[in-house]
Amino acid sequence: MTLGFILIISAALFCIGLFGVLSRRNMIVILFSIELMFNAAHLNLIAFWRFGENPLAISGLMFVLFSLAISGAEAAIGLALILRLYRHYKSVETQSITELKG
Amino acid sequence: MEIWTNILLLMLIGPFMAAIFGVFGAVRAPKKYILVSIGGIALSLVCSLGFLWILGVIKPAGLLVTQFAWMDFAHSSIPMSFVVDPLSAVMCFVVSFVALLVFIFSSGYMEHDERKARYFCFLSFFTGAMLGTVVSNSLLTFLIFWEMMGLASYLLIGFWYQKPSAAAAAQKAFLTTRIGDLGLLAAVFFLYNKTGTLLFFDHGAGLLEPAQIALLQKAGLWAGAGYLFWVCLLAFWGAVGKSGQIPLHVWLPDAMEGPTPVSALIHAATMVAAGVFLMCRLYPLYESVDGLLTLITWVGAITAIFAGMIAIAQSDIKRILAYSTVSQLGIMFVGLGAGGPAYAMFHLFTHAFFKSLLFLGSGSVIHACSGEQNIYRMGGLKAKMPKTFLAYVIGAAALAGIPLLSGFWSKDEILYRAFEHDKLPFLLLCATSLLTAFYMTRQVVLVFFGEFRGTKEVKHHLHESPSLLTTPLIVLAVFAALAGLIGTPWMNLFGHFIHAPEHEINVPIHLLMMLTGTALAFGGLLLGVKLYWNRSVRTMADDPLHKLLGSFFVFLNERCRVDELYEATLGRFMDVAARLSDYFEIFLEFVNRMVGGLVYTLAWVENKVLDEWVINGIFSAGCESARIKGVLAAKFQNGSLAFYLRMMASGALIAGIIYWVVK
Amino acid sequence: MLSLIIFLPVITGLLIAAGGKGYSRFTGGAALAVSIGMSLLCAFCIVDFARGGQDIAFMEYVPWIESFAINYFTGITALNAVFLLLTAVVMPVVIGVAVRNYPENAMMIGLLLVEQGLLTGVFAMQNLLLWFFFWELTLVPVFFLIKEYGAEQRAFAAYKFFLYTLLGSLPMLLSFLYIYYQFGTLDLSTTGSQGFKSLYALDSIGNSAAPEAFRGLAFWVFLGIFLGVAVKIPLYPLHSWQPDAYTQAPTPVSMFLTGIMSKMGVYGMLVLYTLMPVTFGIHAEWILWIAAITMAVSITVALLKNDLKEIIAYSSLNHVAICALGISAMALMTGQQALMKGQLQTGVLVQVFSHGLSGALLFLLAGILEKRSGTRLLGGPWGLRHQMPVFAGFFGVAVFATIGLPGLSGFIGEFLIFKGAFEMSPYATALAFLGLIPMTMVMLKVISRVLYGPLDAQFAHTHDMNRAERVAAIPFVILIILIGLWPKTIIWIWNW
Repeated sequence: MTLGFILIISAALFCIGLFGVLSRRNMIVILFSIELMFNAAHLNLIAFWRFGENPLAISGLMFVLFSLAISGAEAAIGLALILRLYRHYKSVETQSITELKG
Repeated sequence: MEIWTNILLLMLIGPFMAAIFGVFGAVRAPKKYILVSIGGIALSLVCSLGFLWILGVIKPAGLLVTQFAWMDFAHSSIPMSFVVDPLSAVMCFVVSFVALLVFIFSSGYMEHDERKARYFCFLSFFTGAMLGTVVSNSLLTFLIFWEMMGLASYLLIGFWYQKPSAAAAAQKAFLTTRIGDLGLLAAVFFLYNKTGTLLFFDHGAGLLEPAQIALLQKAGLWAGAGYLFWVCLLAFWGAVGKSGQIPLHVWLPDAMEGPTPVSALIHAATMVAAGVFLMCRLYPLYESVDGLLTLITWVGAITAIFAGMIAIAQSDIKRILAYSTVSQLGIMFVGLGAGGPAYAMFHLFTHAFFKSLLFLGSGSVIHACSGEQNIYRMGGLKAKMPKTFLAYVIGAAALAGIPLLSGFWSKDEILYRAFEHDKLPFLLLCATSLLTAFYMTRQVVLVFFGEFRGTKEVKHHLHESPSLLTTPLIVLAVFAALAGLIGTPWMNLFGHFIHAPEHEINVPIHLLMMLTGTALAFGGLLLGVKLYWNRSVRTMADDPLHKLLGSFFVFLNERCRVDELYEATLGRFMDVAARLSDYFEIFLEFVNRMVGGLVYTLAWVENKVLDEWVINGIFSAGCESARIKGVLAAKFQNGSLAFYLRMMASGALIAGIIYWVVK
Repeated sequence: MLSLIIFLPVITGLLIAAGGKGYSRFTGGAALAVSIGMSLLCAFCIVDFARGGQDIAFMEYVPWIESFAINYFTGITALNAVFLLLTAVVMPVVIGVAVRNYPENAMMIGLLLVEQGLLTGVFAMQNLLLWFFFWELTLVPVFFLIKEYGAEQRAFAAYKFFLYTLLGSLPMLLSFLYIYYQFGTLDLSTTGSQGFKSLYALDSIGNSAAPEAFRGLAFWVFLGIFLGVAVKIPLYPLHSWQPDAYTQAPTPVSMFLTGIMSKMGVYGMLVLYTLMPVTFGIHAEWILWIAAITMAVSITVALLKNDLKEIIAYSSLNHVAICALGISAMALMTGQQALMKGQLQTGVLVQVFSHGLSGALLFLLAGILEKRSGTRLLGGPWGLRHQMPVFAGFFGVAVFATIGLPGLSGFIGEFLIFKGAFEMSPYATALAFLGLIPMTMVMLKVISRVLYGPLDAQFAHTHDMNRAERVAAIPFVILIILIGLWPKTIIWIWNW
């Protein structure tokens, strides 16, 4: 269990999330891909906390907890928005919502 | 001598006040007004007699001068000045006397004319102007009154303005005399510029006095002749215009359109004589120039014979007299040129009487013939109008130069001087005398003798004229007969009065002249009688002279077509000049429009090129490129969420790479 | 005093023009009252000046724009007295004619009143720039008057008149500015004796204030002012605006155009002569020729014209150019000929006054005729003498004054001017002098067409001049005859 190992895992998670954001059509999938990216970042933070200079300081954990809370809130808002969009456009596909263009 | 200034003023005021009354409401009481105007003239006559008395009896040697300021400048002034010397006194008498008789005649002649008050107004104005001319001591005063006479003549010739021929005649008269007057005006300018004075007599400094004449003689040359020569020539041109000499004679015959008494006064006795008077007045100047007097003589002689020739072929009773006047004026000029002012004045004196007599007589005849003026349609009037006939014959005889009548004496003097001086003009004068006698005989025979050749209606109304018309005729006839006796070579009262230089009288030559004159007069008479006695000449074709001279007669009848000549040359010239000036105007207008068009073009160019193409173009191009870039930029807003996400990701990546590279 | 005479009419006129609609009798009366009142006042001032004998009377001097030497400087001098008197005599009659013939048109009456004030201002101003200001301003009311109330081609004539004279005057402005630049003052002096710094004989040898640079450019300065003046008089070849303007303008406007505005040019020329006598003298010969050619050609053209107003316009060209002839001849005279110069100047001033009267009278009568006959064109003989004897009398006086018959005022000026001009430049003067022949021909033709002949049927019921028309014409007639017979009455005013 070295730092590098966990970093690789979080990098892999991030890339999977990024791939999902960039290439999926379903907005819910994009949303939880973003969640995945968030969590990869959290994992990165925990890793650096545990394998860093001060593994027992509570600030590292607080930082991640805050971030988790915010990502949760943001996911909630995102879902609320998708729900609204679904009610209007009857679809959760990204291609069907292209009205705001120049 | 204050009293004579008063007399002078009275003499001038009489007619002028009458004229002014005439302007303001004489129309309401014409008969009273006529009396007023006759009174004015009578006053002038009394004054002129007064002058004659003063000059003749009380102060025989002097001349009397008065002047008053008229135009005052800072350092100089032009005064109005009057003089009464024997010359002007004689003229005053002639003018006022003949005028009085003409006024009396007119009161009868114009009885039925509705505008007679106006007529007398104009006639008074004329008489005042003529008297003013005659007593002027300043060339400017002279000119002013001279032009006023021209105006009066214009008004009187065109008196019956409803006749187009009268209007045209008045216009012609004014224009022709004006052309002459320009010469006189120019002479005035030149004289004034050189000498600084326009007064004739000014205690030694006047124009006619030796000091100024010497000055003028020394002034420069131009085109080979002296200053004084040109000045005198210009003044002579003025006299030519007013006295109807060639080439400015064309207005006189046309002036017969006016009422006959007007012709008698203005175009026989007075206004036309003013030209001669001017020459007599300015004689000291003319004496001092070489050659001008000869010119005057020649002009006079040529005019005399020319007019005489035309007169023999005329058929209008007044036209004959008009040309006769032109001819006699020519004789006066010959007298002036060859002899001196005394000879010209004497003939002017006698001519005034018999010519006005003849004109008034013709007026009486026309009145009797109900307006007929063509002598081919008259005849046999002797029986119907004995008084007129008698007076007329005396006048005609005087004009022709029948011995012992007035015309004989004055013409004889001139013949004598011409003979001494210049032979060729003398011969022309002889021919003229012959023609004069001839055409007068022709006229008298055709008018008074033989059978009446007019219409029945006119014949019915033939009657002797009322005494208002015949009395002046008789008075004039007396003068026409006897007036010459004051100027006979042996007892020359007239010459004495006018201070004519004494001449040696070459008795044999003089007698020869008298005989010649008599011969010519009787010769013409006989010729006329021979051709016209007992002939019924109803038309021009019947005229014996026509048979004799053929187409030349017709040419003379048409007055040698001088009017047509003037129209073809001068008229054409003015026309061309006017047209050229008009083209110049049009050209200038064209230039204007060109300039306007140029400015307009410039504005258009500035608008199109600068505004539209350049400035707008640049602006539009700029905007266009901005727009295209905007369109390009707008492509990033394509509404696709996936696209936005991808962009965000790549942007973040690029930012991270840049950060890593820079770090 | 002069300010009152200038500005009261302007203000009243503007008020009338702007708001006078609907109160026609009141506005007409008010306008006439102001006009006549100011004219009488002006006349009294002039008489006072004439009696007094000073160089300049009723002087008002208020420094205004110091940095450009534009001062409000007015006064009556020997030079402008006649012009002021002319304005005082002609303008009330003009306004009277307008009130009578155009009763409902408050704008016309108001603008004419404004014009009276402005014209008085032009002649009274002794400061060059203010003079120029008024000079250009006088064009504005005329433009509107012609454009609104003129004949069939009024717009064209109005624009042509305005633009032509405006642009022609611009070189004058340049010259004035240069004079200011060189001399530092713009105040005129007519005799060279003023308490303060002023302009007089700028280019004479004795004038020590003249910088060298000025002498070098004197010709161009002269030319600038001369161009402005030459457009106004007008002289050939800058005259094309005049026949159109005079013909198309309504009668009251034509009256003062010919009577007063053309004299503005003459006044300008006199001022030019006072300012730069030496340069003028150098160039006077060709100016004299231009004037002579103007005189000869203008009247010859009139022989072909049939429009009465056009004929009067061309004769007016002739009569004002003679003043230019006179002034040029004056410029040619040397100091030794002071006597002759005085006579010549008198002649010019008399001619100014006389033609102002006779030109205005002719247009007045032409307007009356136009109203009666319905057209400006001279038809066949109309024989109006029978129907309108008073008109015939007045018309005769006007025409014969134009011809220059002695006994009427036209002769005096012509006599003196020709006399002087013959002395200085005989050939040019001879050309101008011969112009008297076509003048006589044209005028006699007019008279014979209008007055002589059998009465034309269309005029069988025409009335003679009514009282208002007679009242309008009589002052002119009386003055023309009075001055003709006794020129002292007008010469006394400036008494050179």
